[in-house]
Amino acid sequence: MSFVEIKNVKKHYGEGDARATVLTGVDLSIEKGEFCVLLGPSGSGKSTLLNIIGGIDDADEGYVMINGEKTADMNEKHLTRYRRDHLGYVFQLYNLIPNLTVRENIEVGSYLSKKPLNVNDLLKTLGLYEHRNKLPNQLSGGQQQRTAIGRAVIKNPDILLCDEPTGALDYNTSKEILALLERINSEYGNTIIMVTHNDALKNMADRVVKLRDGRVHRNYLNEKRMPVSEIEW
Amino acid sequence: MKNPMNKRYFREFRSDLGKYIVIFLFIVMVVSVVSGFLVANAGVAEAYYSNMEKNHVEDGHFSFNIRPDSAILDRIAERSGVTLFESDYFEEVNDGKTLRVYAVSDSVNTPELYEGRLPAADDEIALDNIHTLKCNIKVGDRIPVDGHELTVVGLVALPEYSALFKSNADLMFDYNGFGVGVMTKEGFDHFSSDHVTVSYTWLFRTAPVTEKEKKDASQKVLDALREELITANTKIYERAMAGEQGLSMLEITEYLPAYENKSINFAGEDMGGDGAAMEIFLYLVVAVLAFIVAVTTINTISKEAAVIGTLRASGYTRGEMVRHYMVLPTITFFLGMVVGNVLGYTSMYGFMLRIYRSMYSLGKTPATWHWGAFIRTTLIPAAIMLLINVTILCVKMRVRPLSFLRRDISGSRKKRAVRLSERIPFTWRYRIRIILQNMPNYITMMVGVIMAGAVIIFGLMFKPLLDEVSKRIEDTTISRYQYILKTPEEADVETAEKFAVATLETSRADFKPDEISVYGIVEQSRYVKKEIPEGQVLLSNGFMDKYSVSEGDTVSLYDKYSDKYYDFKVAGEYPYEASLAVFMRLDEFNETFGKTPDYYSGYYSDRELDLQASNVYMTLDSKTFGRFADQLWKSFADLMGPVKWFGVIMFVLMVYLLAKQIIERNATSISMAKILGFTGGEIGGLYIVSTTIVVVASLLLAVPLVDRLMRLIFRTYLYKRMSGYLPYCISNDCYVKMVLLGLASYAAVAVLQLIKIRRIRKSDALKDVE
Repeated sequence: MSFVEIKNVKKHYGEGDARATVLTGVDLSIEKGEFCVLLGPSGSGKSTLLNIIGGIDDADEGYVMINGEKTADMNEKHLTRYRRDHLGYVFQLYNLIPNLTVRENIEVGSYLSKKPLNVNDLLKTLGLYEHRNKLPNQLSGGQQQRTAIGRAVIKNPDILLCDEPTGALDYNTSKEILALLERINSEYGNTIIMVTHNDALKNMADRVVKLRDGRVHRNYLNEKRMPVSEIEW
Repeated sequence: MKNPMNKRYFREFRSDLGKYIVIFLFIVMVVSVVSGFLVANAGVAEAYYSNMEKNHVEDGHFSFNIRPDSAILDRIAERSGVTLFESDYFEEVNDGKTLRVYAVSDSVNTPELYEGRLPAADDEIALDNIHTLKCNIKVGDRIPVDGHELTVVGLVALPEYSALFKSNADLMFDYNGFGVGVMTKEGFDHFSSDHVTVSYTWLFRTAPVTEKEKKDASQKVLDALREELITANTKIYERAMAGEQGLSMLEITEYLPAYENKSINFAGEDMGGDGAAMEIFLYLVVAVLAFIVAVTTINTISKEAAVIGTLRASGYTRGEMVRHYMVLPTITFFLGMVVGNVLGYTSMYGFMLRIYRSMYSLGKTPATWHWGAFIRTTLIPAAIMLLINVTILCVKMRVRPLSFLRRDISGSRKKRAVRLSERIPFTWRYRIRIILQNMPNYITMMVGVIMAGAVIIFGLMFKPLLDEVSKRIEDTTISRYQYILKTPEEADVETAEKFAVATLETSRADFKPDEISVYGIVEQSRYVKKEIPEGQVLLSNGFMDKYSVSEGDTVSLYDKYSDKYYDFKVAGEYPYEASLAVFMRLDEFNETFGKTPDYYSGYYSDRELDLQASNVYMTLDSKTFGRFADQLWKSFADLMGPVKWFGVIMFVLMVYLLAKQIIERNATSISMAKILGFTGGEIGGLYIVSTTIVVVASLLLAVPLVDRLMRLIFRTYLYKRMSGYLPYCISNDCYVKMVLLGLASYAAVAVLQLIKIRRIRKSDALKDVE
């Protein structure tokens, strides 16, 4: 059995005339430690699938099983505990706590973990050590996103879920962030599932999943991952 | 590891200092007032009871016209099981003020020293502390008494004069016109015995416990007195018949057991009643504050929705989030309560004590720790605050992490814009949108304005209400004079009409007991102008209203002295405001209470009756009724006067806090409007007018709602916690004043809002979200 098993996941929004089908039956397996990129145009259902994997949204049908546990069988409390112990989240908007410093924002993540990484080491890995005492509004967009990644990674989660982490960043900063994710994946061995609409990023992944009209259009493994530094778009 | 989120608290507190200061001040104000009041109340009660116990307050006293043989006194004492003490006094009337002087006793009615020392020399006197305060007499002053010049060496509280009733027949005490003092026995004896009233106090050898035992034991004293009087007077008569000259018959001029003595009991009965009103006031304010805190917290949550969504998605629990957002308001609340209690025990305690001290003569009153006050001023408000806030926050935090991430935390499923007609001018549509967008704030503001209105009305209503009570008492007086007799005496005036009266108590478990005067009325009375059906009774309107009694109901009343219950079937209402009363036929009265068929105990009369003073227990006329209302108001006014200003402050702080929230929430929109070219004044016209509409509408809505709320408070709380009856009537002037005070104070808030709008910079709309 794969680390992440997704079986026949369907999702609708709205009722009656306003009913919109987002996922029409997704089947997918992701192995432990894989860097998986979910690709697809706007409205293809990639963020919805990511949210269902992360347990912050429900599937109408089908299920998600992570490491042998079905998320649909968990109650709210259990699900929260599950997210706390196993998942890290990175969003397009950084959602940092404005009155906590960089270091403190990262500590917000480590507080949740029984096996957190060393904050100082991670700050250095993230290139934020010099900025550790700054508030978010004193940082650039890239630095803020690195802080958000730090907050998610410090927990040393089994799975890191990233929803368009470079969506609000310029080319160079995006490359910096992606390189960081690449490094985290290889250094700490976390499974990373990243949603993006940037087709060029498929080359950096172990697994590429292309969604179209709410279903998996293509699902394949790259024989060799290309370093982000070599990818252009 | 400590939750790093904790580091936010101080920074949050600093960035929202204004909000927390307002909440803190609010709590400090209300808790200090209420705690000061409750502690003073408890301290005063303690001083009152300890003064009576420590200083051996009398169990009763009686007076004679002449000094009787000591053998008579010995027999009275022996037969009734009491110890008698000489307690003669004389009175000095000066400038309309009566000073009653006793000799100091260390066995009974011992004075409690309040200031200075007790008299040691013949020309020294110690005066009651409250009378001296009112008459501006100080220790060291010299005062003329019956041709002697005496030095005031001390201020005292006499346990038998905690309330300065000159006569037990008076309906209300009179600390301006009446005072008491004590001298040494030798000093006292220098005064002419012609002016001295021969008086004796008694203490029971075995103290009776229950009311009935007290009454029975006192009755024994009276029986012994009566029998000894007959024996003594028979002997005097025989001696006079034998030709002895200059003999006077021995007469009892006063007989007053302690349980009937108003000077002793009034203060004790008066304490505590106002506490109920103060508690309601506290809980009202706390509830409003709790809602304000909840709304401001919800605003913070809205602002931080995406962060909360991220944290929830990362595994932070709902409980952790609720606790996080509860910490600062809770700390502020508790700090406010602690400071409020400290002030309550210190400065407010002093203030409240002065109010009591301006009415009653009591010993020294220590501010002692009072669990009841602590529970009522701290634990219950804290519980109200926590309950309201935790409930609202828990409901809010039920929103799923994804909804937080999407900033969709309204909880409503359909989020469609309300359609507004294009015929409505743009500025008005904008204002309506502001109101719709900030509905939770405005609803809280409305509730708060209504509650502040209720507080203002609470502060305003009592003077006109008591004026009205006074007027109604006069309007419904049964006769110009009402005499209550100790001993029956025939009045040969045509207008005099006999009646009988007994005092019973209500015994409803959910109400504080009320004394009920049960009147026996002659048939075809010229004064009680309504027929009383056979076997039934009429109730005074206050009784009917307070206890929600209807025609045909049966009321049960209790006689605490005989431990008996009496049931009366109610035929209807009789307009009588002076007391809670039952009117029944005289013959049925006598039968019910086991009296002889010709028994009566008083007269109604439109003309003053020439009755022997010693036979009259109490005379009531329109003056005494008027004095009752005046006195009641005086004691209440001190307490309620500041309440309306508290209501105004509450109104200002609350509207300010919520209006500030609305502007802060819309800071980006305001900033954007400025970029587009709107002036500060124009933006003010949009945002301030919206708030003004809500404030004015709330004030107008407050009129009927406060009326209903007050009715509810009267019926479900005050009537159950306070003895006696106050009709529910609030003059329209009070409501006009409430609206005007509200508008005037809002004007100040509007100016602050405008300043805040002007301070919002154009760049705010353009800066990064974080």
